[in-house]
Amino acid sequence: MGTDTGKTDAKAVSASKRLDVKGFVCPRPMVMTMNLLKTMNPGDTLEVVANDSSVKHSIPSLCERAGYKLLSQRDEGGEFIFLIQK
Amino acid sequence: MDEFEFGVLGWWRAWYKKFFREKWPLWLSAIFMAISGIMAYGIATWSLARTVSGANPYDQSKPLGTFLGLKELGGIINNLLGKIGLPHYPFSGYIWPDGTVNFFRQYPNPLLEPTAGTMLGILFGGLVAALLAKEFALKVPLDKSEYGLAVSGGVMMGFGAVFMFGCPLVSTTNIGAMGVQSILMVTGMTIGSYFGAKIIVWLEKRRMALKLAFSDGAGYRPLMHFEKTRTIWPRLPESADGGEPASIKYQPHLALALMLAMVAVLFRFGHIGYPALALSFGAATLTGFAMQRGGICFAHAYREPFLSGFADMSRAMALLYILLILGFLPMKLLGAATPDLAYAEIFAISPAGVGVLIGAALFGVGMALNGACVSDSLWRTAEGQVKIWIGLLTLICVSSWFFPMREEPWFKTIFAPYGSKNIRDVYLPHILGSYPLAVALMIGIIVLWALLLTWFSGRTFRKYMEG
Repeated sequence: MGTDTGKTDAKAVSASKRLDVKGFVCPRPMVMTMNLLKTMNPGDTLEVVANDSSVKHSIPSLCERAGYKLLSQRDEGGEFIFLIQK
Repeated sequence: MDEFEFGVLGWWRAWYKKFFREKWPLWLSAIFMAISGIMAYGIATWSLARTVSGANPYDQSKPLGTFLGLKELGGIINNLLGKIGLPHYPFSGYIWPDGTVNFFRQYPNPLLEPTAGTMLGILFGGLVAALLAKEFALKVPLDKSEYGLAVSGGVMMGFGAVFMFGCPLVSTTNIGAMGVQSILMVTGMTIGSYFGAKIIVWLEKRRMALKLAFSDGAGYRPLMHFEKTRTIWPRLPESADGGEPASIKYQPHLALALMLAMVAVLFRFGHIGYPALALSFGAATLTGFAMQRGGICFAHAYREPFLSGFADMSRAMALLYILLILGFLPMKLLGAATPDLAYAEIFAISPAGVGVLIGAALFGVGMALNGACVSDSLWRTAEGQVKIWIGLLTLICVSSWFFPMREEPWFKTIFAPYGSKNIRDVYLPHILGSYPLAVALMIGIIVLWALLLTWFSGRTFRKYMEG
């Protein structure tokens, strides 16, 4: 279901932390993701679930710029799920 | 043959995915928005020529904007609520450079006011784009703070719109039109967004501090994985292999049906005497479609350099502004050379003054808090974002209630004194005495603005990485 642009097998990596930002609208999903990643250690993974389409641009841009690894990106019926490694 | 069909089908699927499912690059959305903005200006010039020649004085389309549309849609809501608020009536007309109002037209229906149609067109374009991408879903915030941000942002934007006589979409048209108002709008919205970003940072810090007392230590509760979903429709199946529910699967089919129905309605509308309004609706639909596909958001473009340290949207916006400046030029020169079409030269130019700067700053704070301006709200409303509905309704009501203030002599004297007697007093080519000089100045200002926001974004992001 949905689109999957996973770069690795997401099932092989379990998230150290999960962040549910469904129901929050831009800019808060991005701000919350940035703030939580800041508190995590290098190598930790974070799963972010959002339903505001703004994250489709903002989270990949954040990973690219900050050097975080975007392990997978899924779209499930209007919900967007990202697995990020710090 | 099979291979050929497979090839064509394969090509179609890949193309569909690229164009309708994946997000467009921002520059591509900006180009499509510029095309629709230039189309709307061209259609407005054509409708002006038809009005002046007597061919059809009632079909007065206008360049892209939403301001008067806010008043009309607000009027409809006020009537539904029992005629609360101030009286309004839908009208159109052309205010000539010397201040005389020509071809004044009162409409029997508020939806015939040209910019009300623009708003509905953006909403429709956003809806079709969201359905084609299977991205429509009713999303209800459970966190009460989101409602607070929507209402407070909506009130500030409503007041701001009255004072600055427009919204960020009007500012794009006004930048292309080379009005002094646009420079004040961009300056004010940038300042307002800076403070809006600071308020959001403060609110998030406060939120994190409160959560730390009773949560997982990082400031956030762990994810409740789909157990307490906030997407209330469509419902996802219990297991991932349960197949795609019909409410998602058939969204593109619904989009196609809506488009066909709309084409039929617009043909009919054109046939009964409103071809320019029908075409203008089409241009607005393209704007809404391009905004949803690229995720183009004025609030994001102005706020993010100060909040998360990203200026890619700001640069896309600068591209849009520059394309509009160049794209409007042929119609403006036509207006300058043809006395009967003089209004084509000064479409979208409004009187300016300190009110525009104050209003734009207020609007900037409001759109940073709400997460969307008027046109952003329209395409995101079409995606099913309930928070955005609340912000948009608040903005529409507040601006319609206070719109008549704008017509008061004291308001004009204090807040918008320049250009009231002769609108060319706030028209850059007239002030500078040269079109090339005005174009160069406007492009220079936009490039400087984009560079400034890019610099700010670098500073913000460096602080984030180092902090």
